[in-house]
Amino acid sequence: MRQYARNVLRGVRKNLLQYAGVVLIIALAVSIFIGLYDYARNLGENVFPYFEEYSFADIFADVDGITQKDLEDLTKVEGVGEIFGRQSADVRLDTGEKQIVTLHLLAYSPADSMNKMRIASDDGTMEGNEIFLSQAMQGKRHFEIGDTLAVIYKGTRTELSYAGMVNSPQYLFYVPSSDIQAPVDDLYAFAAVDADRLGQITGKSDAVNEIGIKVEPGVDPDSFVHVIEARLKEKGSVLSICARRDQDAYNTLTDEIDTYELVSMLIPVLFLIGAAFMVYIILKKAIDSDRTIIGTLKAMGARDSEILRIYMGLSFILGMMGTLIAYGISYPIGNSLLVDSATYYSLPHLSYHFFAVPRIIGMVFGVGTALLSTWLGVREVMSIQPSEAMRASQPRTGNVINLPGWIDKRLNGRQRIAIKAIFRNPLRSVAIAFSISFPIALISTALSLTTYMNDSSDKVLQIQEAGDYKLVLSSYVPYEDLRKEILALDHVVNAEPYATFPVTLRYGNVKVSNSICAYDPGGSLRNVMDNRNHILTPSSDALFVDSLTADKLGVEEGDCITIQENIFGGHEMNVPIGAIYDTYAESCAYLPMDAFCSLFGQEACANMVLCAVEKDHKEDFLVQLKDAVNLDYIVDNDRLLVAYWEMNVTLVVIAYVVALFAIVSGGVMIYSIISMNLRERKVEFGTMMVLGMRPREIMEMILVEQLVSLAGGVLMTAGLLPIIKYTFETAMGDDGFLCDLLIRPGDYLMSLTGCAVVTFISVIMGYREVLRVNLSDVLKERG
Amino acid sequence: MTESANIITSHNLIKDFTVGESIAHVLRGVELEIKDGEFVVILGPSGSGKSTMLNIIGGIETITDGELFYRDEPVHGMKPRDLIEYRRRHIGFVFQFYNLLPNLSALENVTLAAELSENPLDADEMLRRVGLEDWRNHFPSSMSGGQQQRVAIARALCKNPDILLCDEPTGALDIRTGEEVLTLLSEYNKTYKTTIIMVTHNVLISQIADKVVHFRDGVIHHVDVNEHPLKPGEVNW
Repeated sequence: MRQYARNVLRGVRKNLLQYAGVVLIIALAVSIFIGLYDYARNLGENVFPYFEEYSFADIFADVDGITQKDLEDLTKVEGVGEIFGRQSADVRLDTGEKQIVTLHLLAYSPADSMNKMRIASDDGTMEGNEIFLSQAMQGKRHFEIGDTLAVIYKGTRTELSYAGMVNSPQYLFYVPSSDIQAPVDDLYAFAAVDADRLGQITGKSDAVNEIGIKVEPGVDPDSFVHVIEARLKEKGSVLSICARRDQDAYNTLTDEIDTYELVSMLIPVLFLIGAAFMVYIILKKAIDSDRTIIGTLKAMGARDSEILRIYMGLSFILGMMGTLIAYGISYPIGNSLLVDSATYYSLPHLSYHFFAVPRIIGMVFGVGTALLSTWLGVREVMSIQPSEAMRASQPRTGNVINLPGWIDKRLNGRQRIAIKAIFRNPLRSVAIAFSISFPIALISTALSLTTYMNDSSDKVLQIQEAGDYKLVLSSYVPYEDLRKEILALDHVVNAEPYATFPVTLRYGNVKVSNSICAYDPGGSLRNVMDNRNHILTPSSDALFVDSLTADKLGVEEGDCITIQENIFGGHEMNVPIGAIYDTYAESCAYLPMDAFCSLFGQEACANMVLCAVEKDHKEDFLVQLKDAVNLDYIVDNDRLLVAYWEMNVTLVVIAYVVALFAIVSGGVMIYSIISMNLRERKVEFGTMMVLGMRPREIMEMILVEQLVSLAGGVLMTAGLLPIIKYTFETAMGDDGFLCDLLIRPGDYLMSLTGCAVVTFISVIMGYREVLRVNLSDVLKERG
Repeated sequence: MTESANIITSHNLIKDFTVGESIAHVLRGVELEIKDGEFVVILGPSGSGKSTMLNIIGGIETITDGELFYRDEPVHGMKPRDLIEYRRRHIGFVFQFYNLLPNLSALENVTLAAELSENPLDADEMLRRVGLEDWRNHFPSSMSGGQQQRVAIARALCKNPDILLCDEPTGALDIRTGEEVLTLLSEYNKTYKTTIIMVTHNVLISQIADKVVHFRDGVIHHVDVNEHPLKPGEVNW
């Protein structure tokens, strides 16, 4: 059967572009899978040992008013394996610039037993006047060893000597508070100083601000959090508390790993479906055109298995070629993501391993897809009878249909041929429709994802927390006093104070740590915004809660939840939920300021202010705040926007790359199927040209056919789009981020236009092939 | 009796094909005259150039050198677009392997041709003429070879062509079916005076023709004129 194998391979050569298309799509799908999976595994392999090496805690708490001695008492609590406390303080770094730079100073000791830090010091010790900066800030500011860095704490200036960099798994990237989700490395960073030195700076030698707890074996940190929280509240204020799972750095990394592992599976499946379609159609067509030959071979005694083996062997080669190309492409995908992450998360060491498992799975995906679709396409070989070789072939016909009379009489002969052609091979028509709908759906979703990701930062800073700056104070001050004080500064156009404070929300047995924002709903800078960027107005006596928090609590509108707070005297009160709204990320609960006052029995107060400043006077404004004692840090919205963009850029690039892959795959599929369709009807078209049909009449026929296919593809998108949208939303969302994409008409139109252009180009190319038909060959060919 | 004018005239018709690096001289200066309404059979061994001559008359092949006229209209200088119009208006084709469109019914296949013509004959009537009025809604896959060829003839004639070109129309048929097809063509020629030019290697068919043109090595070897052409039923097949 070697000669027949040669015949099949010659057929491949004649249709090289289509087979190359199959290999390309398989390669794309498998490379995305391996690249993203490799990245996720490598990230985990680099980071999780790092966490363990630095004795990462099980529970993290930010507290106030607790001492080291208090911690000794807490070690006796059942379930606590080990407890560790560290002092920290937010200080101003005097850089000589007008920008306000905040450092989160951490007390360092070589004897730290938990949440360790590593400093760039040979023996791990630190002199009393030394300061070690985070890798992220040092990367931006490039201090020299020995440089004097002056830090200002509550108006007191202390000079320290820069001695090198510090790494801490707890602060893989540093954000001053959880409502800022992107690091601005040159404005906020963490740093380490000697523990005694920090005590001198703050004037509190025994104070503890950050607590780490390791639980005893068998204790679940997620449920133990509330036990330890209650015990900590007996000693002082608990500003925030969470289990390891929810700790910022840990949570960010695990989310990233989970997301990429999921995306690595979901996206390739979509591409492999396309590849399977193409393989099926191409090889089925090859069998159809070789029916007489196959009948002859069978008449000569060839077995089905001998014939099938050739086609299966071909598909195995196609699958392997695609997989091997994917092995090559996947490395730059995975490695570039890992290098990017290492820089972003300031990981101290990085190693990239090639994992066998995703490569084996990728090979199974690639080769398996090709083999399965080939088997489905060529199994009818077994039904071809030898007698088919002995007689003139009947005209090959697919599903013939009679059009309804009211349609039929409105069509001319050419239009009738075009419409009937769609039904003659329904599966192929479905394949064309799928080739069109798949990229439309995928590109629309990818574009909407980029818009959603950008809006989750842009719109938040334009609508939810508008203005140029957010000033974060270290304590609560009277609302009106603060407003007047800020407005009295030069160049301030508007100022809106508001208060946020940590709370525990409870519904039944479920507790969720959150915060409440008491604000002025009549203001223009601080607003409640949903994930469609609409401003919402809370009612005067009820709580506004985001849907992610509501899901965790298991509450609906109208339910009454219990708020426990520890800032204003330890109140516990029941408040109804006025509304539940969808927002981008898990958010604070909202109360109008007057409702807060009446519920908590407090005067209006604030610890944050949003400021709008005159254009071109931003630095002049900042200079006025340089010596402000009560100011913890400032958020520069413009800089934060850039930081968000940098954080999202990888995902946005991936989305655009997926969109590009989709249009390439779709284009290859569309062109392959259309040209195959046209080529196998070469005799028909040639006959029509011999009969005198003009080229533009033939073009009209082909266009009608493809326009109906395009319409079919658009209709199919209605079913495919929700599936792909759901896939993306599931992959990107988690219990802290609501991914609820809105496919905008512009995104849909853009993708539809792209696919229409690709279809049109394919039609033109196919039409040109039709015109090149040798008419005299047509006379001698069997129909 | 007034002698009919020529419908096809060629002078020194040359056709070369380039095959790889060599050139095949398929027609080497053909001088041919076919009168309006004649039934002409072109005979010759394989490779003699007869099919090429038919293709050139049908406007499917271009001419390397020489002249070809349809009536007074030069075909030799026509551009591809003009050749399409030439075929559309004046030529009908009957193929050896019928070349019906498989997804159209018999009537639809014939109607397709009618739509291409400026002055077509009725499709239903043509099917009736070929004896297939009861098969109008059947598809080619359910018809025998003879029936398919008759549909093909109906399609060709429906265009109401001036010239009907037939390339081995009975080549794929058995003797009896072939005789039926030839009877159709012959009757049509007699009734409508449509010029029929038929290429065949079957010498017996030449007995029904008005003129038999013998090709050999790319030129016309000799031309026989049948004073009394036979009917297909009279030929001893």
